[in-house]
This record gives sequence, C-alpha cells and structure tokens, in this order.
Amino acid sequence: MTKPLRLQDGALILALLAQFAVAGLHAQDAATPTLVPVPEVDLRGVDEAVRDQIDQQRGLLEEALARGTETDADAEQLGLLFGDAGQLYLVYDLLPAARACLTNAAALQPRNFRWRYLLGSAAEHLGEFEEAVEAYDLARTLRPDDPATAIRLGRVHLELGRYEEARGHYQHALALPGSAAAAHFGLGRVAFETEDPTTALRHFQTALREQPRADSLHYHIALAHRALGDDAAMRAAMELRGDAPVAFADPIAAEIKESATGIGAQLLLGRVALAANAFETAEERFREAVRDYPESAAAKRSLAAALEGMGRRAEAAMWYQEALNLNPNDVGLLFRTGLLYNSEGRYQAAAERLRRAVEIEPSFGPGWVELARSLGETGDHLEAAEALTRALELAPDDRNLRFHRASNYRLGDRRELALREFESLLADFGFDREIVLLLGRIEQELGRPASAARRFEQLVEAGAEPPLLSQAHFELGNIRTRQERYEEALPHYQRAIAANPTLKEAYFNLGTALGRLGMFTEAALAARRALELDPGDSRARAAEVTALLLAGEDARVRLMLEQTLELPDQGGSGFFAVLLAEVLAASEDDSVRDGAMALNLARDLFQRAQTPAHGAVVALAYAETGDFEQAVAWQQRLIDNLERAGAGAALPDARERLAAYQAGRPIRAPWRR
Amino acid sequence: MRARAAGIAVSLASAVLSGPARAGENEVLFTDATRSAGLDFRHWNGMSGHLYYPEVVGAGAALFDYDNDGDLDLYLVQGNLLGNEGDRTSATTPWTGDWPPRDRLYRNDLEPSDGDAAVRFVDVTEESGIAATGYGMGVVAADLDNDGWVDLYVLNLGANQFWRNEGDGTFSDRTEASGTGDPRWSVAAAAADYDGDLDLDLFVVNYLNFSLATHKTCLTERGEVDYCLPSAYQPAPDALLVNDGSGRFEDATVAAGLAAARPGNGLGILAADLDGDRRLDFYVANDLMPNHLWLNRGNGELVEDGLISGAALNADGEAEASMGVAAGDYDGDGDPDLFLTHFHRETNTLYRNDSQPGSAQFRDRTNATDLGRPSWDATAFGTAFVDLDNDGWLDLAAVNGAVTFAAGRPRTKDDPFPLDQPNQAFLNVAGDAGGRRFEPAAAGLLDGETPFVSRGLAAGDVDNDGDTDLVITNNNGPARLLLNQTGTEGDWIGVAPVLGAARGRRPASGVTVRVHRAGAPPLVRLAGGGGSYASWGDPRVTVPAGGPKVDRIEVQWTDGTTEEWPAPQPRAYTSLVRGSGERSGEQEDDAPP
Repeated sequence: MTKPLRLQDGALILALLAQFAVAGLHAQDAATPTLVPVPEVDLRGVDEAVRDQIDQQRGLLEEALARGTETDADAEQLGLLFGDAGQLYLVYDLLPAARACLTNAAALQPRNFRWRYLLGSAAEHLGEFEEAVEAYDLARTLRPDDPATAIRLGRVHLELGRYEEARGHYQHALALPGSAAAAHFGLGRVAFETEDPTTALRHFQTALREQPRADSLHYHIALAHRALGDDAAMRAAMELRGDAPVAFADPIAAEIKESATGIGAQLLLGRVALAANAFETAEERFREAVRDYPESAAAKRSLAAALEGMGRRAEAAMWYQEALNLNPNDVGLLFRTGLLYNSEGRYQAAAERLRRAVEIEPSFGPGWVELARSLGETGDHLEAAEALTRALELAPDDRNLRFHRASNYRLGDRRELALREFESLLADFGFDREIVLLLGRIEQELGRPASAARRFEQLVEAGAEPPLLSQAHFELGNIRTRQERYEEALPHYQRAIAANPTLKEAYFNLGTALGRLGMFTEAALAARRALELDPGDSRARAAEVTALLLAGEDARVRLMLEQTLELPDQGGSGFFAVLLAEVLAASEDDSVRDGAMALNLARDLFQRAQTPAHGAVVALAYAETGDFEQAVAWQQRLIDNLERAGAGAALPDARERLAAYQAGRPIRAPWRR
Repeated sequence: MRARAAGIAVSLASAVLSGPARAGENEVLFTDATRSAGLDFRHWNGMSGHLYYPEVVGAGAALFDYDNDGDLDLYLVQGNLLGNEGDRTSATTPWTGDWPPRDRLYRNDLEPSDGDAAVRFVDVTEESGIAATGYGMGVVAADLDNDGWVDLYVLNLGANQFWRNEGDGTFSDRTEASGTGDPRWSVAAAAADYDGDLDLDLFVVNYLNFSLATHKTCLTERGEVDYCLPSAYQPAPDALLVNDGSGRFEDATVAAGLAAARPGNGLGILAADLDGDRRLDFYVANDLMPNHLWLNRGNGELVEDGLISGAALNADGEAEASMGVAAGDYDGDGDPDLFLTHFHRETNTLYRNDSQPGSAQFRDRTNATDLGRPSWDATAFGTAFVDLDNDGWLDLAAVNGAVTFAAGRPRTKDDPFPLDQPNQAFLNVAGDAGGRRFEPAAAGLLDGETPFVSRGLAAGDVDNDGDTDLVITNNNGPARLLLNQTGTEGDWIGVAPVLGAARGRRPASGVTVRVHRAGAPPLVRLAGGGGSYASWGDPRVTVPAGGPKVDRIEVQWTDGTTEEWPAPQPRAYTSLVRGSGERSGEQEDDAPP
C-alpha cells in the first residue's frame, strides 16, 4: 500500500517520519525500517545559493515522501534522496540533520556502504563516538578492506580510550592501499597512550618514511624521544616539526567536499531535471558541469546517467568509463557500468567491471547478482553459480537467488546440485509448479525417466495452469516416445496441444510418434501444424515431406520440394535438394521420376559437397538413367569411403544398392527402408 | 533496575524541594544563592548587530578579601558599547542601569544563619571609588603594592587599570603611576612572584590586535554572518611587568625572553611551579595557537617550553582553541597537572604532569581519563580544579558558552545571542590500575540550571564553610553564585599562605601547599596564581580532614623555600605566615635565588 506523507505548511516536517515505515521493502530485509525524524534546519541568514541548493534537495525529498514507497524501487529512490540530503547537510555542517538523513538512507539501503560511512563521519563530528563506531563497523561489514573506514575506526576507538580496539583497526589498515602512514601513525598514538614510547617511536618513524611530507609527525617523534629520555633527538625532531598532517586515502570525504562548491549546485540542478524526466535539461546541466569541472567523477557519472535515461547507451557507457578513469574504485560506478554493458549484451566487459566492484565491496549483493548474470550469459554457469552463492551469503533467504543458482548449476552440467537446490526450494518455500517442471527435466537429463515422469505426473495431478500443464504433458509424451511407447505418448501430446495450441514442439513430436506408428498422413498433418506455427522451421518441413513420402504422396512431395527450394534462405536446403534428387531418381510413381533432372541435381550437389549422401544420390540417379556402369563405380567408391571411415552401419544398405546396380536394377523408394 | 529507578525519583524530588545539583544520585553539590546573596550583577556586552568580536568574548570576576574581614568579596567586570559614538540606543539589548556601565564591587557581609553563615553581597562600587568603565575583560586581585591590602588590576579592550586599595574601603586609580596601563586587548593576567623577591609581578596576557577599524565581517561555510574566529586577526604579544616592590612596574617583556616566542592569542594564564624546580612558571592558554609554557630559569629568564614539554599541543599534535586553564594534582602524585578548556568539537584537554625537577614533561591524558567526549559539544571557558564533593580528590568545573552561532543556534530578533550552553562538573573517580578518571556529574553544576553564555569562573569558599563555591559570569547575562553544600558535612582544614609585611599580611600567589597525612599521600594544592578565564579565585586552600589524620602543612614559597606547620585547628582558616613555620631543611641549601 502506498503511504503518502503530508507535509505541514509546505515545510519539511520530517517529524512525521517517526511513524513512517517503508512498505515496499521486503526483498532483503524482513523487518521494514522505521525512519527517524529529521531536525528542521533553520536556513535564515544562510547564503542564497546554499539555501537554494538545500531547498531543492529538500524538495526532491518531500516529493518522494509524498509519493510513498509502494515498491522496492520507490524505497531505493527514497534512500538515495535521503543519502544525498545527508551529504549536503554534512557538507554544510548541519550535522544533526545530516545524521538523521543518513540514518534513514542507511535504513532504506542497508547495503549501501556510502551512507554507513558518512553516517559514521557525521556521528564522529557530533562527538557521538559510540554511534560512529557502530556506523563504521557496519560499513566495514560491507567493505572489509576499505582503508578509510579502518583508519577512522581506529581513530574513534582512540578517542574512546579503547586502545586494543584502536590497535586492531590500525593493524588491519596497515596492509590496505593508501593507509600505511596513517595506520602507523595511529599505532604510534596507541603505543604512546599506553606508555610504550619505544613502539610509538618506531611507528611514528615508519609513518614518516611512508609519507615524508607529513612533517607534523616530527612532533610526535620528538615527544617519543622525550619520553625515552633522549633530549638531543627530541630537540632535533622538534626542529623539523611542521603542520602537514598525516593523510590517508578517503575518496568519499574528498568527493563530497565538491558538494559545497559550484559543481554541487550545478549537479543538483541537473538531478532536479533528471527527477522530472527532463533529460535534455539534465544533460545540458551535466555537460556544463563536466566542462567546468573536468576532474569531477560525479559530473561525468551524472551525465552518463542522464544519457542512459535517454536511451543513448553507447554515450552513457563512454561517460561512465570516463568517470571510472577518474575514480577507478567507485563501486557504484562499476556497478552502473556493468548494468549498462549487460543490457547491451557486452557480457564480458560487464563481468570485468562487476567483478572489480565486488572485489572492492564483497558485501555488495546487487553486484554479485549482476555479475552472475554476465557470467551466465557468457556460458560460465558455474562461476555464475559461485557469484550467486556470494550473493546468498548476504541474503540467505532470497528465493530468486537460489532459483538462479540452481538454474546455473543445471546449465553448468551440475545437475545433481541443481536437483538438490530446487528440492530445497520446494522444502523451504512450498510446492512450486515451475520448479517441479524443472526437476522433471533435470531428472530426464540425468537419464531417470521414471523419476522424471513422476514429477510431470505430479504437476498434472496438481492441476497446473495451461502453459505448465502443456509442458508437463509434452515432457510425458517425450518420455514415452523415448521409450518407444508411442501410443502412450500420443494422448500426452494431444493434451499438451489442448492446453497450449501454440506449442509447436508438441505438434512436431506428435508427428514423430504418429510416424512411428505408421500413421504417416496424420504425422504429416501434425508436422504441417508445426510448420504453420513456424513457417521457417525446416525440421517441421522435413518431417512433413518425409511423412508424405512414407504415405506415398510422391507427386505432392516433388511439388513441395521444388517450391521449397525456390524459397529464399530456406534452412536445410541441402537436405531438401538431396531428397528431391532421390525422389526424382527413385520414386515408385513413374510420373514423378526424371532421371536426367535427378542426375543433374545430384552431380551439382556433389560438386558443392562431396559427402557420402551426395555420392549415393549420384549413383541412384545414374541407375535411373540406365548408366549402371557409372552407378556401380559411384556406389563402389562410396562403399570404399565408408569402409575407410569405419561407418559400418551404412554398409549393408550400400552393398545392397551396389548389388542392384551390378544387376542392372534401379532402386525404388529407398526412404521406405 | 528497580532500585535505580527509585533512586532517581528520590533525587528529582529533592531537587524540586531544595534546588541543589546532584553529582550522582545522592550527592548534592551546589545551590544557587544568587538571589539570596543579593547578587544582582548583569553583564552587558553592548552588542549592536555588527558582531564586533569582543562582544562574544566575555568577562570574568575576582573573589578576594578587599576589606580584610576574613571573607571573600566579589569584583565583576562589565562590558560596554562598541562603536556608534556611545549611542546606547543602537544596542541590541537595552542597557537599563546608570550610564556608563561599569565594573562592580560587592562586599560580602557574611551573616549567621542556622549555625552557618549566609552570604550577603552589598554593592559598594560607588563608595569604593572604582570607576572602571572600559570594555572590561578580566581581573586580578592581589596586593601589588605590598601594603597588606588587596588591589585590583583590570584587563580591558583598551588600557588596563590598576586600582589601588587604600585600606579604607576605597580604591584609587594608579594605572599611570604604576606603569600597568597596557593599551592592547588584554583578557587575563597572573600576579605572581616571577623573580623570587616575594612581591607580585604581572604577566599580562593579550589576545588580538582588534579595533573597530580592523573589524571584519566573517562568514560561515553556509554563508551566514557570524562572529569571527581568532584567526581573522593578528595575535597581540603578552607582557611581563616586574614589580619594584612598591607597586611600580617595569616592562621586562624583552629582557625576560617573552619576545623570543611567536605571539599567541592569549586568553588564560596561571602561575605555578610546573616543573618541580621550586621556581614559578607560567602557562598561557592561547586560542587556536600552541599554548605557551614559560619555564622560569631563576635568572630572570623565561624560556618557552610548550612544544618541548608536550603541553602546547594535544595528542593529535594540534593546537586547540584554549580559553581557560586550571592546574591541580588530579592524580595525587604531588605535581600540578593542567586542564585546558576548548572550542566545541574539540575536547577539553588534560595534560598529566610527568616532569622531573627542571625538566617539564606533560602527556595528554584526555582520552585515558574519559574527559574527551563529555566536552565535545561545549565551548568551555572558565575552569577550576576544585574538590567539588570534598572527597580529597580534585574534580573539575567548566563553564560553557558558544562563541559562534554556528556552534550555538541561529540568532533571531527574539533570541539575538543564542550561544548558551550548560555548564559542567567532572568528578574525579578511581579508574583502572589505580589511575583516576572523570565522570561528568549528571546534572552539571546545578540541577535545573538555566544555561547562559558562561565565561568566567572564580572559585572560592565564599561562605567560609570549608568547601569551594563558585561565581560564574555570563556574557550578556547575570552573574551567578553557586554555594557548595558538601563542606559542612565533615571536618575540614583551611589555610591561607600569606606573606608578612610591615604594613600587613599579603595573600601569597602561586605557592604550593602540601597537606601531609598519616599513612596517606599528601594532598597537594595550589594557592593563588590565577587560572580559569579572566578571573581570580580564592588564594586560600581548603581540604577535607575527615579521613587520614593531618600531620602537618608544608608551603613551598615562590622564592623556593619551604616551611612546615603543625596541623591547624579544623573547621577554620588559619593564616600560614611566611617565616613563622619550620623551614624544611632539605631544601634550604639548594633553594634558588
């Protein structure tokens, strides 16, 4: 149910949010999050440009709140808007509002690292260190190896006097890119606080080696020397003291600083246009931002999003890549690019980006899912299943993920695994006709027709909807056909057709079964139905003409084949040409046979492809023209080739034909053999 | 759980009935005696909407015995109008008193009341002859001319003033004659014996080079007009004025070496022997610049040792916005530690003293003592190490008030100065491994206290009951008197280290008092020496005597000598006159000049 929110007097009275639960969230979180009220921000006296920026962001948020959250997409959008608002408040030092917005953003998008991280930052600035620890810890579960999170966690624990915890985080940060200096500095601080100046000195000195420009470290080195009683070293270090702090890679903090500048306003205007589906205006704004701030990844990403919204995917992909060049480890960017490539069918490129995204943020569930899609599409089904396993670690109860993993197991030839996965889905989520159908098919693929039949019969007994009922009968018919129990197959195919009159395969297989029962005219009719449903289906056409030949309708067949060969791009034309040559050479109907035409056609076919089948037709045509010497020579060459190829199964028929030719006797209706 | 809830309920009920603050569930700290004591002073900062920087800085107070009747009188520093040619109608909040606004002197007429003494402050400004009408900041109360009567040195935005106590209830302006009229923006000073000659010199702390001509309009990152940060102006150098013994001063700033250090934005100062060499050192709290620790070499030279000693920057290696400073032996190891009050989103900072004689060394122990987080939101100014709960361990009081609207609330027509913040008390409790830590008192200093924009804090036993009371000054608000309720519950010992003189007894400043106890470490307290923000506190010392038996009292004077006295009578103040005690032999030979 949609839950619109009314806002009092046009102001953003987000206190209403206190009772606001998001209805649409259900995919990954069993409990619907309750949002916290956002303290009202007094913007009197604030610079007009800043006020406009904040007002517009609030406007977007108000609209989204008024719309409510009927679907996951609504909730997702609301989460983004809360996050954007939180960032903006953070940039302008409106910390209580920032904290509330980021809390809501994190509740709506619990897997979004950025919101957790910024919430930690807001709490840290507010001096709410426990809350900061909680937020950073949650961020860490999403990106265990994010250097900035590790450093900040160390710092907050240090503020709290929790030295062991601080030490642990700094030690973790030691191995992470871009944070070694800060990690050593933190470890030095911890050591100094815990009265271990020797260790402190070692870490401070290492930090300085890692980051020589951080000359503020000399101060700490000096104090450590002092604590160790080395006054000379202390004074020497103090002389070198400067103000440059120890820096660490903190891309999110660096990025959001842009929000307070002109580019922030420019991008906001673009986003406003984008939200109103005014893509061209948005494109214009973002292009201005890209022009004015060529080093801004946010500008390029925004432009790409606008272009993608306009369906200009190639351009969008280019700008996403441009943004990625500036910020190669931006998980959101990698994901967006991967999505775009997937939608364009560029699965390898998509997989490459998505794999990077989940390497950076292993807890990014949508990244694993989309990666599985890319891998599945490129045929790497087992890797796809592995990706889905990672996604399932994050959302163990997600039925769809389990379903797709089972499907990938099946396609990756791990059918036993697929079977178990699908069965566990039945156990966990109850009877599901689609899964039963798949189970039956997998049993078939595993060569267990009895088990397969039981699954399909179960489906039939359960009274499936027509499409599934049709499939069940179709599969039962196939099982019986493979068992050569054609009479039992017939009613299943007929029920399959009754339940789904457009099921071409059922007509086709019905025709096969009828043919096996010698009911060639009916078989031809069934094949004709299949052909009507798909006029380009050369199999059906072949089945029809074969059935008609077996029914003795040679003249009709000749006509059909001649018409077929005149059709452009007719698939299977080689087969039909050979068959026509055979019919012309060997029909029992004198009015149909034409040796010269058959020989011309056969020789022409042989010139194009010197196959045993073509050679045999040439021999057949020579015999029909009365040139048995040539017929014998061609047939003998065919037999020699078959013997060399070890094709023993075809030899008896070939020798029989040779004998006939040697006896000056042409062959008639060989298709009946 | 239930018991805890019941305890809280009782506490609240008591608070309603009597109005005291409670540190925990049972402990009453202070009652607000402002009205009952007749304290009707209201500070006026003269703000006019231009956001002149001095408006937000605020003024202090002094507790001192100006009439030598044995109790503490009160001096309160007043603001004024800035600019507009004295057009008081241009002020945002109207001035309702006699024009011009002036500092006020209140005489304490302690009156017996139910076995205790009731404080009654009487405004004696008119009869005192004090006409301090400058834009006032801070005040020092000390006998600067060695006549046995405590004089006043008032720090102003503009020339400072020396008000000589004539001993008859009146004061005379001796600024010019004394050579103390520093024309710069001074906020605080320490009257202390820097050269060991037993008279009191003046270390004057100057803040910024501000004038209406150099006034700047400052903006926040949101583009709001707000009060500036000190970095908008140039720091003003400090000054050292040396007393010739008669109340005439020579400027020794350069000779003592003060000019060798980069000037700081000074707001607070205290004098104490900080490195254990029995010479008086000075610690200056600088706003957003490294603090200064001036170590006394005993030859007239002061050496700035803040960075080297670790007392200039916090543990992050950063200079903080220091406003107030206090010194006290919080951990009972015998040396004075330092506590600095700071801007919001900085913690207040505790520097533990790890010095060896002649070698100052301090360590930031803020986080380890749990003092960080509780002060994060506050902009703290006045502060003092005070045994708030009379348990023998020095607690901390800090009074707070923002200096920018960004750190307070947006200003409106109805709320033009919304910088008020609650004041705080931090109780010294046992920590891990025998260490100490601090717990914020749940109710702050006073339960239900209306927050103001607090600035000055002067600590002293105003009602002579053996505990330490507080006078709080509020910027553009009323001064408050908080009376401590813990001292009368047990025995206590009070001492007043004084210097004998032909013309009377003079309160010492910057001396160290050690109260030796049987089977327990001595209680170490500092007498005088200034500290806090722009304020001056009680030069006497009081300690609880209900615990281990007090054997003797030792005083380390500013000339480096020490004397001892037997334990005095409890529940009264005893003057310890220099020269009347027993010299501590082990220190005679190597006493510095």
